[in-house]
Amino acid sequence: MWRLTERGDRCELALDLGWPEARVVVGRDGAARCAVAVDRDVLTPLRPHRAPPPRVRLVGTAAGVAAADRAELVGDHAVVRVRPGAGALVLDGDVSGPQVAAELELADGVRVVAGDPAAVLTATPGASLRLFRPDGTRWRRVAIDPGGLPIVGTSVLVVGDGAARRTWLVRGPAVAGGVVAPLLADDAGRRRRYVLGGSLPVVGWRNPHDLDRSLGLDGWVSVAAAQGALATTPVATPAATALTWHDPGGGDRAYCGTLAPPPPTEPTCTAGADDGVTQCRVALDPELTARLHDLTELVALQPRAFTGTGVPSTGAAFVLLRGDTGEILAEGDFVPGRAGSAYAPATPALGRALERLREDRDPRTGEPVAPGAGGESSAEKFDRHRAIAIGSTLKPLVARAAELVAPRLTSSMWIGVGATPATCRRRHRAVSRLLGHCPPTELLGRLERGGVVDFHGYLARSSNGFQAALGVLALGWPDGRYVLDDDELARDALLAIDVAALDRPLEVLRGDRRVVGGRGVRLGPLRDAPLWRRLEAIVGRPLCTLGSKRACTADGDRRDLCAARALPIAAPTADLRHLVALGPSSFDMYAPGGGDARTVPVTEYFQLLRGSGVHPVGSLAQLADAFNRVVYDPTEDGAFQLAASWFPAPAVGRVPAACTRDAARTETVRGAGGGLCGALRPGGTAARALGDLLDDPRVRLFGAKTGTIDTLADLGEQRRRCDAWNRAHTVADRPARAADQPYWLDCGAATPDDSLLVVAFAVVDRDDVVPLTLALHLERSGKSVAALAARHYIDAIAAYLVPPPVASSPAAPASTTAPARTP
Amino acid sequence: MKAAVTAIAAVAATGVLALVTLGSLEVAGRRAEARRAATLEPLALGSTVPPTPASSPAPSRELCVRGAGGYAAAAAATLATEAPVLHDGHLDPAALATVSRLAAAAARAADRDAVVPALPQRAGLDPATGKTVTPPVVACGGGSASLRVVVPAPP
Repeated sequence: MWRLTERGDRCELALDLGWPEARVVVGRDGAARCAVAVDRDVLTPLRPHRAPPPRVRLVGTAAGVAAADRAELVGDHAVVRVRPGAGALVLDGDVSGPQVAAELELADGVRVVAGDPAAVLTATPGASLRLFRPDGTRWRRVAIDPGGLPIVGTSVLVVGDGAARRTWLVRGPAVAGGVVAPLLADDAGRRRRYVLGGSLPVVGWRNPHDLDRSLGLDGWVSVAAAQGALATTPVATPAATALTWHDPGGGDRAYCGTLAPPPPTEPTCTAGADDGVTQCRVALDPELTARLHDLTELVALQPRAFTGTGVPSTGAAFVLLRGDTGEILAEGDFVPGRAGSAYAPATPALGRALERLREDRDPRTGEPVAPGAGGESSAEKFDRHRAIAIGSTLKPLVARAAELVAPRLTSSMWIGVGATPATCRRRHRAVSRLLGHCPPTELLGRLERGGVVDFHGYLARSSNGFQAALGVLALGWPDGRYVLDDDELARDALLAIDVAALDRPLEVLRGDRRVVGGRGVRLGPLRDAPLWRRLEAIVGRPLCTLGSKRACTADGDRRDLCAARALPIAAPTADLRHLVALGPSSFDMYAPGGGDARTVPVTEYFQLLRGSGVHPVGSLAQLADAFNRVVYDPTEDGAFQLAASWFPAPAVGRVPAACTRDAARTETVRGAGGGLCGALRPGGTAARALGDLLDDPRVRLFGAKTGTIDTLADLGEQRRRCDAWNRAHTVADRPARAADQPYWLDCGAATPDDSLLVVAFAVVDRDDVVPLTLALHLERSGKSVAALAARHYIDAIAAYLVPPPVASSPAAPASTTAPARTP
Repeated sequence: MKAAVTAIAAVAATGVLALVTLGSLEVAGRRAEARRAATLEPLALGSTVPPTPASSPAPSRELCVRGAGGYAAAAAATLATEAPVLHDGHLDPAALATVSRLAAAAARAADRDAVVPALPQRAGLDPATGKTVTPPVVACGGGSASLRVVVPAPP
C-alpha cells in the first residue's frame, strides 16, 4: 500500500514492504529520488560474520606541558589530567571535557594529588571507593594504604554510593615518573568512546556496522588491527618504498609517492599494557592542537586585533610538524559559521547522527534527505586534504630543487629588467614578457625593476620574475641547450640576464628533446629534466600526466597516504582515506578544458610556478611537509627520507645552522646567511613580522617564506559569481548588507588576498632544541596576516613545549582541606 | 578472590559498571580458556550523577556563541576581563590555555545530551533549502545567541 506524504515543496511516496520500505521522493522542480529505507541494526546480524577488531586503545602524544602530567582520569563526560602546579577541581556531574588539576576531589574524602614522582590517591576512613587493578585476565580489588596509593598503570576507580556513584578509568604511567599518553579513543562497554569529541575530528570513527567504512585515525587503526597489521614490532613494517595499496579504481599505488622514509624504529602499537590492551599512539598532541585551533579561530575572526591588519578570514588552517621526524604534532582549521564537527562523536547519539549523515539521511530522524540536498552537511565538512593556492611558498621548493641540480649556477644567477621591457597582452592588459614568453599575469614588479635580483634576494624578497626565469632556465641544467629562433645561446650567458628583453620565446632543449618550446612545455621531457625530478622529489608526489585536469583530480583525490605508512592497510576504502589522506597523490598543470595530454601552454607552467589556485600543488599539510624537507632533510641525491607522519617516526632530519643577524649573506637556500634566513632579516618579506625573534633566546629560526595569492580576484570581478559567494558567506544573525557581513566581497572591487607562511624554527629546551615547521593559511585575510600572526603561534608553541618549571605538590594527606571548585 | 568477584558482581548488577570478571569461578571449559587469552573487558564508564540543575549555587560561566565565531570566541569573550588573550598586542599563552580549556569544556558540555553536534551552522546556505541558514536564537548574556552553554567557572 503506497502512503503519500507532502513535505514542504516535495512529495514522498512510501511503499511498506514489511521490511524494508521503498520511498520515492519527488520535488516540485521535478527532481526525484528513490531510496530503500533499511534499519542498519536489523541488517548487521545478516551480514557475513566478521570477527570484531581486537580492542585497541588510541592515544596521542604528550609533547610539552602534558608530558609532566602524573595521571589521567577518564570519566563519562570528562577527562582530567593530573598536572603539578595546576589548580584544584571538584569533580561533580557538571564537569565536562578536558580538564587539568593538581588536586582533585572525586567524592567526599576521595582525592588525587599530583605528587612527585607519581600522583597519589587518598581516601579518608569510611570514604566510599573501590579500586580495581588488572591481575592477569581479572580485575582485582586493591586496598588503599592510609598514606595513599601511588597511581601507576591502569586501574578502575568506583567512588560514591547510590545516586552519587561514578566510575573512572585511571591511567598512570607504566612506571612512576613516566609519560601518560593522552587517551583519544577506547572501547567502553559495548561502544567506542571518543573522549575529546569533535574537537579532534581527524580521530574519526569506527563504523560498528561496516569496519571498512570507518573514518579517520581510529578507523585506520581499527582496520589495521582487524587485518593483523598492527606494527607491534618495528620490523613488521617494510620500508615505505616497498609499500603499496590497492585502489579498486586505479590498481596498485605507492604509499609515499616519490619519497623513501625509513620504517619506524619503534613500534607504533604496543601490546600487553598492564590490562592487556593494545595501545597505538599517534603523533598528535591534543592539548597543543586545541590551543592552536582556538588561536586560529580568534585570529581568523579578528585579524586586526592580532596583527594590526587584514579582514576576517573565510577559512584558516595550521599545521605543525616536528622538523627531524615529520611527525604531525598539531593540525586543524577554522571555518567561520561552520557547525560543530560530527566526527569523533563523543556520545552514542552523536555517533548515530554521524552514521546518518554519511548515508545522506537526516541526522535527527533518519529519513532520507530531499532530492538534491544530499551533499555534505556543515557538520561533515572536512577540507584539510584540499589542494590550495600556495603562492610564493612554492619558491623554496623550486629553489632547493635547482640548487641540488646545479649549486654553482644558482649561486651565479641574477636577473634584471631593462628600461623598455618587451610586452604582450593578457586580458586586454600589457604584461612584460618573461624570457620571450607571455605570462598569464604581470610577474615583474618594483623588486625586479628596482635593480638586479640574485638567488638570495629571490627568496628573501620573493621575486616572481626570478622564480619564472629559474623555472625556465633551470630545466636545461646542467647540460641542456637554449635556442632563440635558430640561434643557440650559451648556458652561462643566461645566468645574468634582462628577463624582459626578449620579444621572442626562448626555447629549452635537453639533447634533441624540446622541453620548453615557443608555446608549450612538453611533459615527457619535463619530467626527465633533473630540475623537475628534484622538484617532484621535494614535493613528494609526481606530476600527473593523465591528460586532463579532471582526470588528474579524480585520480589523485585523497590518495596521499604516506602519513599513514606506519600501519599500512592493503586496500583502504574511500571512507578510510577521507580524513587520513594529507591531500592529492599528484599535481598537474593542465589547462581547464585543455585537450593536449603531452604539452601544456607555457602560461600554465607560469601559473604553476606562481603557486596559483589554477594549478594548486597540494594541501597545507603537504606544503608543510615539503618545506620541512627543504629545511631539515639532508638528502642531496635520490629520494628524500623525511615525510609527514600521523604516527611516531624516526628522526632522519638534521637541524641546520640557525639564522643570525650578522651571518654573511650566501647565495643558498639554507644556512645562517641563506635566502630563507634572508626573509627574516632586514629587507626580507617576514622581517617585520618575525625578525625580532632572531634575538629571542627561547627560539632559533632556520628560515621562512611568506605567500600571498589572489585566489578570489577573478570571482570578485564576475558579478553573478560574486553575488553567489556573498549568499554562501552570509552570517545568519546579522542584517544581509555589506556593512554587517564580514565575509562578503565588494563585487567589482579588488578582493583581499590569501595569506600564507611557512617557518622552520626550534624551541630551545635547556641544551636541547625541538625543531619544528609551522604552516599557516588564512584565506581572504589580506597580505601579511599569516606572517604577522605566526608570532603568536610561536609564542603559544614555545610556552607549551618548554613550560617554566613547576614545583611539584607533595602527596597531601587525606585530611587536608577540600579544594575549591575550579575548571 | 571470591570477595573481589562478589564486589564486582554487585557493581555490575547496578548497571553502573558493565564489568565482566574473566576467569571467574563460574566460568569453565573452552569459554574460560578463550577468555584467558583475551584482554580485560572494556568498561562502560558510567555515572548515575545527573548534571547539576541550573539552579545550583555552584559558580558557573555562561558562554554565548554568536555570529560566525565558535566556542573559542565565546570563551575568549567570557574571559575577556580576567584573562585577555592579548596584552599590548602580545599573546598571553596562559590566557590562551585557559580560553582553550573553557572552550573545550563548553563543547563537550553542549554535546552531552545533543542528538546532533550542538554547535549549529551559523553562516552560509542550508543544503536542503538553498537559503541562508536559520540557526536557533536563544537568550544569552543579556542578548541573543545561536547557542548558550553554562559550565563551571574557573577560579
